[in-house]
Formats: sequence, structure tokens, C-alpha cells
Amino acid sequence: MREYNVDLEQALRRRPVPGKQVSISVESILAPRERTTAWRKRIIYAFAACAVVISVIFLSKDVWMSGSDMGTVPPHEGYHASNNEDNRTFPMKEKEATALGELQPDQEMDAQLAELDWNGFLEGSTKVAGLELLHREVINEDRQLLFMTRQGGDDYLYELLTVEIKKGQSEAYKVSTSFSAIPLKGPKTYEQQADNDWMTYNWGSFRNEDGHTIRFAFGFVLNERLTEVRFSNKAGQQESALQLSQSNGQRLWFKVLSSELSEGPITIEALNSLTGDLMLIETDGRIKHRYSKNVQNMNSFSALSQQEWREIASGALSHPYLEILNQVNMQDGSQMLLMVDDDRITPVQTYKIYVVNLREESKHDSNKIVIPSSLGVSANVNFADGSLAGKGNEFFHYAWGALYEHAFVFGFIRDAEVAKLQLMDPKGEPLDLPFMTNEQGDRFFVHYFPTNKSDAFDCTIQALDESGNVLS
Amino acid sequence: MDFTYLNTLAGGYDREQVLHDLIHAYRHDVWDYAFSITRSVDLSDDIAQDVFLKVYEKLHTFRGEASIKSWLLRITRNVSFNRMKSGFFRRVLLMGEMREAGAGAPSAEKQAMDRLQTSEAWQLVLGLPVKQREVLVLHAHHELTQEEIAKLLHLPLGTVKSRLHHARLKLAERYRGGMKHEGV
Repeated sequence: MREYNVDLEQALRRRPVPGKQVSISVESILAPRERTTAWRKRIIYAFAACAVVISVIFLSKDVWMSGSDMGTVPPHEGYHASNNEDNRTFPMKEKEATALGELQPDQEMDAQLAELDWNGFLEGSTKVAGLELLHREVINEDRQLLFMTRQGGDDYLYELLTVEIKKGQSEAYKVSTSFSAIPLKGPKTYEQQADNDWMTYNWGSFRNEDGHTIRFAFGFVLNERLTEVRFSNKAGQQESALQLSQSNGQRLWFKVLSSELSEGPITIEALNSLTGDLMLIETDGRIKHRYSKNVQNMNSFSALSQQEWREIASGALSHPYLEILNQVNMQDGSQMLLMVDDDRITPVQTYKIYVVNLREESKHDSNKIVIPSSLGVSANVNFADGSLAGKGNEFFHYAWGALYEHAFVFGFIRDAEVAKLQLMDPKGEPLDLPFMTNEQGDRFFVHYFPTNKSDAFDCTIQALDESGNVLS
Repeated sequence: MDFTYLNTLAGGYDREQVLHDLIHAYRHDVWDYAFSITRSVDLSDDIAQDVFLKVYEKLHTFRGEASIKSWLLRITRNVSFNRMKSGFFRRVLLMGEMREAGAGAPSAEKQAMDRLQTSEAWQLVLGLPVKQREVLVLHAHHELTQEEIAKLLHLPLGTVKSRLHHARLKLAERYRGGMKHEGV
């Protein structure tokens, strides 16, 4: 039986220094720059003076290019101020936008990261529950940048981590810098919480050994319609972010920018492969403006989500307007589909007919997203001679096209009298084209030519009635 | 004060108000814990200021896994140990202590404790090795459970129990006042 002193522990409930009044200066916390000491201030003033002198020298030599636009830039056409991360009005957003997304290195090194056997973790022999490595960016033989997610508590789902690890003398990696972001909290799904915004954006930077700044950026993909995150500068240099997926399927993106894009203003675009820009972030080093396109402004076809494209690829789409009439697996691993979208008017006045190529981008195992490419035409159900929408004749409508290596012809039948559609090659050899019928009972067709067939577009099409008479 | 709302904070909350509330509620806890680690009044003042600065900067990272108090104490611990590792602390404070001890005089720490009218219990606790000291302080003064201490210190629960046990045994031998109690 052991002994301890209850009264001693009760005495410890009192404060160690009774009556000690702890005063915290809130002002100095809210105005951190004022905390600098007089000596630091002197150094800052000296640097500022040097900067002024250098600027004056530049200006006097007329070599300074004034490209700065400090005025308020109106929102781009078709965009609204992003409501991801906040719902503030534009002027408020303008004022505080610079603070959004920027990460500072965590000064207090997380014990879990500090004590981790990184060599084992990288080799896979050391597992850490809830910590998932998504990407390794090798900076040089002694340094790597790791992008990871860490599972969180009830109030948030995942913390995004970027960690710089360096080899020590023992060849063992040690964490040297870490950046952490929890862009979204709460039990809602990402899309609900972001109110249909497209992605989160966090960025940080660290100094490379050669003195250059390396900037990196990462975030959650909030809307599956996003297929690319692209960075560019005014010189026209472009780089795309890696598209990554957690083991649970949640998509993320990550990018370590080149030295050219690590300094100076850059533009970040969230893109859809069919519609282009979804979201635009302008920076002048820090975030300056952030705009998003409203998903409600997109038509049903271009607004299909990744999940819906995956369902389409697996033949399981159930969509109120779109019908898949034909689906073929091609030799290059992609799929070609014939899809029809009506104008939601009964009876149907116009069809939008698309040939779609679906391919999985698979540069990385965890990076498989479905990339749709399409070629589509609008066609009036009733032929009107001279109509812009009318390509073909009163018996059928058709269009030629090519996506990647695949050339094709597609269209629909206007006249019920048409019993057969024949494709005639340049030598006059006929090929009967099979029909596919949609829910309204209209007939459609598509034909894919063999890969690299150069004379595909020299073919002609003719419609025949039941007796074999040529109608067109 | 109830800080459970911090678990569901979204963007746009009033950080300044939260800071005021936290300072009001926890400034003594932060200072006392810093003091128990550093045993320096001046350093604890600085640490408390630094802790709330970090809290203000890092409020968005509070994950709600632990209580807000545990979170604050953890930041306090990190800041305290970082300060103690800093060159200033080693050069100025520890050298001062060594000179005093070498002269055979009462240590600066002991003199400071006497001046501060620290209770006998606290003086004994402050004389313990820091590993045992902080476990006991977190348990007895800050009233954290052993599980919370283990989480805060990133230690196995068994280690916390063991350190607490040894700290209690040591103090029970040395403490003059109070009643002894059987069991652990």
C-alpha cells in the first residue's frame, strides 16, 4: 500500500504565487507590428530608407516600370465574388482578401510530426493512424516537401499539411517546417458548406537554400466539376496543379510552383475541361481578388459533376435531360459516347447532340479523374432551309468531327420515311448505319472511323426508303 | 465561461472578442503553468503574453479534439520549453543559478520563492524534476484527468500514471503539513 498527501494536493489547487495579477496587453497582440523593439525599429527604418533611396535612383534613371494598379478592379464578366470562406460584400472582401489563404509556418512543431520516423513513414513501414501521405515533391537529395491530410475531430474533417523534411547527418529525415490548414469545418459536406464554390485555396512559401522563394499551394476540390487548377503569370507561363485523391475519394490539389511563378503576381484558375474558367483568383503575392462562376448559369451538360461522369462511364447515369444512346470502348482505353439533350419543351423543338470522349487521367495512381471532351451540335427537329442550325436536309441531320484520334459522323433522322442511312466511302462502297432511338422515339446515329483513317471526311451519306430508293 | 462554441467556429467570427474572453478566463491558468515549468515570474509574464498572441493567430486551427483549456496549456508548454531552450534563457538565467549555487548561498530560485510567499507545497513541487512536476501540476492544480494529461504531453497513459505516482511519493515524504492518505 502506498501513501500520498491529500492536503498537499489541495494546497496545490491554490495559485503558486498568490495574488499575482496577470496582465495581458491585448493592444500589442492585435497590433503585432508594434511589438517590435526599438532596436528592430531602427533596423526596419534603415532598410526602409535604403529602399527609398534605391527607388529614387531607379525613378531618376527612368527604368522603373509602373505596372501597379491600386484601384478597385470590377468583377470579371460572368463571375461573382467567391463565397467560399466568407460571405462578405465585395468592399469588405477587398479589404480583407489579402489575409485569405496565406499560411505561416507553424512555430510550435507538432509533436506527432516532430517525433515521427519519417524514413519509415516514407517507406511505408511506419503507419500513423489518420495521417495520409498524398504527394512527395523532391526538392533535392536531402529535402522533400510532403503533402498530407490528417484526420480531425468531430468539428472538422481533415487538416491539410505541407511538411518540409530534411536529412540530418544520420541520413534520417527530420521535419524542418510545417504548414497546416483547416479550410473547412463542420459536419456539412464540402460542397454544401462552400455553397457550390469550386475549391479552397491555401498557400505558403519557404526559402530555398539558393536564396529563392519556393511557393506552394493546395486545397480541397469542393465541386467535382473542377478538372484542372492552373497557375499563370503575366509572361504567359502556365503550370497545372496535381489532382490528388484521398483514400476516401475526396479530391485535393497541390502544386509546388516553379521559381518563375513563385515570385510576383500570379493568377489561379479553377477550370472545367468543357466550360473553361470556374473560378479566378488574382494575387499580387497575396490574394487580391477572388471570383467564382455560379453553377446555376451552366447548362446541364457542362455542369455534370465528376461523380456523374463516372456514372456515365460505368453506364449508370440517370439524368432528367440527358440520354446516352451509344457507348463504345476504344482501343486507347477511352470511351466514346453519343449523348442527346433535348430543350425540355414538349414536343421537342431542338436537340443538342454530343459525341463525348471520356478518358481517365492517370499520371498518378491517386490522381484518376475523368476528363470529358465533347463535340456537339444543335439541331432543329423540323428542317428549315437556310437555318443556321440545319446542316443536312429534310430527311436527316448530320455533322462530322474528331476527338483525339477518333473521327466520326453523327446526327439524327428527321423524316419517318427514312428506313436506312448509308455511308458511302470514296470508292462508293456502302455501309449501313445502325439507328438508336431516344425516349421521344426519334432516331439517331453515330459512326466511328478506324483510327488514323485519313479519308473519313471524304465519305458521303444518303438516306433510303423501305424500297431502297434514295431520298437524298 | 463556456467555450464550446469554438468547436464550430466558421470564418468571420469575432476573433478579438474570443481573445478577450479567453484572456479573461484562462490568463491565470496559462501563467501558473508557465511558472510551474520555468520557475521564473518575469519569464512567465512574457510567456503568457506570447501564448495569447499565438492563440489569436492560431484560433482557426483549434480542432475541438481537446478542451480549450488543454489546448491553451499545450501552447503554454510549447512556448515555455522553446523559451527555455533559447540562448537568452540558458545564458542569463541558468548561469545566474549556477553562480549562486557555487557560492554556497541559497539559490536564486529559493530566494525568489521565499520572496513570492509561495506555499510550502508549491515550493516542494517546484523542486521536483520538470517531468514529474508538470504532471503533478496539471493534475492537482489544473485538474486535468490523467487521460487529458497524456494527450497534452503526448505520453502513454502508463507513463503519466507512473510519473504522477513517483511525484506524489516524493512529496509525501517531504511535506510537513497535512494528512497522509493510503492508495494511489
